[in-house]
Amino acid sequence: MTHGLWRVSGKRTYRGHEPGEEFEASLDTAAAGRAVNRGHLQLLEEFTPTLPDTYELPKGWVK
Amino acid sequence: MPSLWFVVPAHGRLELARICLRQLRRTCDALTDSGVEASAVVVADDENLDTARDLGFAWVERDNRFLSRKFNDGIQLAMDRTYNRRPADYVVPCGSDDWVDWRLFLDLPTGRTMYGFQHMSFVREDGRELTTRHILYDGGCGIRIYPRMVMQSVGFRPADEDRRRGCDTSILVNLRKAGALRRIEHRTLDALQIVDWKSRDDQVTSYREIAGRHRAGLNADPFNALAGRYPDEALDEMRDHYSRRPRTSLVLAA
Repeated sequence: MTHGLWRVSGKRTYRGHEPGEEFEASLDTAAAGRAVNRGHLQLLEEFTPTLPDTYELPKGWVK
Repeated sequence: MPSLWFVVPAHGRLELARICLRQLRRTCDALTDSGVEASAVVVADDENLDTARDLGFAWVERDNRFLSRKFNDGIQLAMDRTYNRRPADYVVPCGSDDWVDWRLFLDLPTGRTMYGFQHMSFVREDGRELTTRHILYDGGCGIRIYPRMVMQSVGFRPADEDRRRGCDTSILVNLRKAGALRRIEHRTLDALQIVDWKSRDDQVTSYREIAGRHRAGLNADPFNALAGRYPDEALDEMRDHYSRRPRTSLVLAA
C-alpha cells in the first residue's frame, strides 16, 4: 500500500474523486502505479497517516 | 481488568449527541463497576468536543471531510501505545446517536475474533415510533467489538482513509484482506440491545429506508418499549428532545 496525497489528473473520477481533486488515501501500490502510468493519477506526497496534533486521553486514564 | 473504548465520530446534531453521550457515560460507568474498564473517544471539530470533555471522555479534533478517518483516529488513540500508554484491549465503533446495552460487553472476544450483532432497533425521526429489525449481514449492524490484536495488524487504522460512508464495510474488508480477522461471531440479548435514534439532521439512512429494507419485528412507542431497559433519566432527556421538534406529519405536509 502507498499512503499519500493524490491528485486526479485524468478526465474521469477516481474512487469517487473528481478530476483535479486532491485526496489523501492508502492505495494498492500496483493499482495506483497503473493509474499513474495511464495519466489518471498523480502522487503529490507520500506519508504515513496518523492522528492530528489536537487530542486528549480520558480524564484520569493514564495515572 | 480488560479495558474497552467506544469510538464515536460526531458532527452536528449537538443536542441529540449530548443525550447519547451522557447515556454512553452511564454505560461506561456500569461496565467499569462490573469489571470492564470502559471509556470513549469522540472525534469531531465542533461543540461535540466540549461534551466529550465535560463527560471525561477522550477526544480528537478532526474535520468532517472523511468519516473513515475519524474512525481511524479514534481507534488509533484508543489502542496505539505511541499515543496511549495504557492502550485499550477492545474498541467498539459506535454512532453518536446510538444507545447500547452495557451487558453486551461483559462477554468479550479473544484472538482474531470479532463480535457482531444482527438485532437492533430504530426510532423514527419524530421520536414517536420504534421498530425492531433482524439484519442478516454477516458483519452485523450497529456496533462491533474488536480485540486489539485484530487492529494491531493494520496499524490501528483499519478503514480506507477517504471514505465518506460505508466505513463499517471498509474496516471489515481491510481486516480480512490483511488476515487480521479470522472469525465473526454474532451475539444477541434482544433487539433493544442497540437503539439508533434517527433525526432529520445529517441522516445517512432514514427510518423509512430501514423499515422497508430488513426483516420486521415489533413496532411500538419507543419510550414504553425502552422503559426499564435504559435509565429513566436518559429516556426523560430523549422524550424532552423529541417533544421540542416538529412531528413527521407536519414536516411532510410542509
